[in-house]
Amino acid sequence: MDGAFDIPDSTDWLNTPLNLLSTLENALHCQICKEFYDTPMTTSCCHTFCSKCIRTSLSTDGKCPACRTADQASKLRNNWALQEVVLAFLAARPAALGVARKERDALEEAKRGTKSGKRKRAVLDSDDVAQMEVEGRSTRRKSQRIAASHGSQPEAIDEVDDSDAGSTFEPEHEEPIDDGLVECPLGCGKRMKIEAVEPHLDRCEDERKQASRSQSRTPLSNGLHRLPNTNNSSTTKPQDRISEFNYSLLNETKLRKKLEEASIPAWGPKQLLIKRHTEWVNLWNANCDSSRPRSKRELLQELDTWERTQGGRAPGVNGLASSVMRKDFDGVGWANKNRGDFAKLIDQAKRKHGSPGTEGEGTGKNVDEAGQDGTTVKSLEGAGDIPPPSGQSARAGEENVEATDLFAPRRDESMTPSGEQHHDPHNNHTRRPSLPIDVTPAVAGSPPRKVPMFRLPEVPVRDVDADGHGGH
Amino acid sequence: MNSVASKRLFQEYKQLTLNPPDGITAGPVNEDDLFVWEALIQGPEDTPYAGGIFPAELKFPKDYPLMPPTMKFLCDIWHPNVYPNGVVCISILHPPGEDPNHYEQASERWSPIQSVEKILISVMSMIAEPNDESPANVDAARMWRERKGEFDKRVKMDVRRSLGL
Repeated sequence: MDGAFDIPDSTDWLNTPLNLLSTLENALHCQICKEFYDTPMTTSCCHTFCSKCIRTSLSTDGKCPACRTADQASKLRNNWALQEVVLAFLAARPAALGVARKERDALEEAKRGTKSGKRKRAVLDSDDVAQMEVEGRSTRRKSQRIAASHGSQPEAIDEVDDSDAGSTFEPEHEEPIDDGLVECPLGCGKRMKIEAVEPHLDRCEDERKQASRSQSRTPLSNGLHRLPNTNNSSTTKPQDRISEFNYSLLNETKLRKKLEEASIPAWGPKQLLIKRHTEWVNLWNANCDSSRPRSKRELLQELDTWERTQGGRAPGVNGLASSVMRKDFDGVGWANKNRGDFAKLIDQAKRKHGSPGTEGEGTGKNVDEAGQDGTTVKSLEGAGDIPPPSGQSARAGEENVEATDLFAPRRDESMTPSGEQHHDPHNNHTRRPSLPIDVTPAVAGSPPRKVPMFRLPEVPVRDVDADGHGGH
Repeated sequence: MNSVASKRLFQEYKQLTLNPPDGITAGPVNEDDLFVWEALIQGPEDTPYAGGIFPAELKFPKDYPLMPPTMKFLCDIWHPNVYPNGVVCISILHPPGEDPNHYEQASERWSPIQSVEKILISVMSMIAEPNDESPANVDAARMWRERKGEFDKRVKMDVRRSLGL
């Protein structure tokens, strides 16, 4: 979250003599994300937004957010001029802000009207400059993602400065000395007696080769962060934009296959698949619009962020993060509040457990419930491609027999201890009598008996609950 | 984990803190969760609500700003456009698309270019000028239309009570 806290903001200009720049800065913000335009695109109704923003917005309701004219993502056009304005402003911003703040401080100082203030101001100045530089760097880093290839100008200038400084210093050391020695004709700068030139030449040539090799290496590595970028943009630029499918014509299996073909995660119910694919299309196409496209891997990472914030691994309705329990979570209160529900569930489980006919079903269902309640299962599976329990039960028919064979024992091992950790407070008093969680490890504990979650076990498991409540 | 929504909410929070509109304060209840805000709205001057401070809760969806937040007053407020349970009914808070009742134009509804600030300003002007075309609180709307004096008196009573007078 920390990164979010130094977002440059138009309010930075308020209370400085340059407060009108606040309006300018706001004008350079996309009205959807309220940040500086990142790859601005113009709609057919002539409104401008970030590529990703307008694409997402259009795929939600197909209208321009500003005037609500119907529009299509395919009609968007790059606004390169605006992009350059934004980049230029971003480059000038830190310095301008530094000046503005200095001016403001000076004015305040003047208001106080003390003489000693002057000396203080001098100190302040150097501080300010240092701060300015730090700020400049951080905003620049921030904007690097935004920055297009022409946007690397500030960096380029920095580099030129450096090398200039180097080259202007060197010549000063050279002074023509008349000491009767000859300079190496190959220009290595060494001076020697005329007889020594011949043997030196061989060595010098070797040295020069080495030097030139290492020299050519240095500029290469210097330019590395720029060169590949231009390369990238030329090689990845012609990437084709992809389009959304007509999702209503595809059934879930076909859609899942399409997602797999696109090598993006393909778990979850159809609704989630559609949402994920739409997000992927928008990410991908916005990347095609960009003058500095990112690699597919970065895009996939971004999709993963989406998954964790808005997609299938997003925090639940209650706002809890999927794997982290809130610090001030009132476990006892929760347990008391839901005592009735817990009791009912336990009761149901017991009843189901009692009648051997519904045995297997009962177990499966309760594991599911535990998963939904806890959301811990999600985090446990985090690494794998195994869908969360809800998805699992949704397509119970398809691959479940193998899936659960693989899945059930692992979950049982990991489920119980961490389930306890996360939900200690309310599980404590419900867990003891609740059968399913106690039962399943026991079932899975006997290795030769592979019991798929939804199939009836051949051997009645009923004996296990004997320790639960006094035996049958 | 920085979603589009939380980034934008943070941006709006910063803007609202550093440059707040008159009579409005708003921010996340808890900085760990940017998706639940509390807002305080001053009763507009020259209305029976003047002098009152009305706390409200804003809840943002995961896909904010594509979808609007919901807003609910945490105090008693007698108003034609506020449901008896405190939920605010105002077009800017309605998701984009066609209104099935055709009461409001699409242009008044939520769009991603709106913001918390605009919502709160709209709510403030809604407080000052109720819209009785599609009332959320029918009794309040009728009272406002037919017995303005009684309406004002009741609102003033509520305000005084909320201030502990």
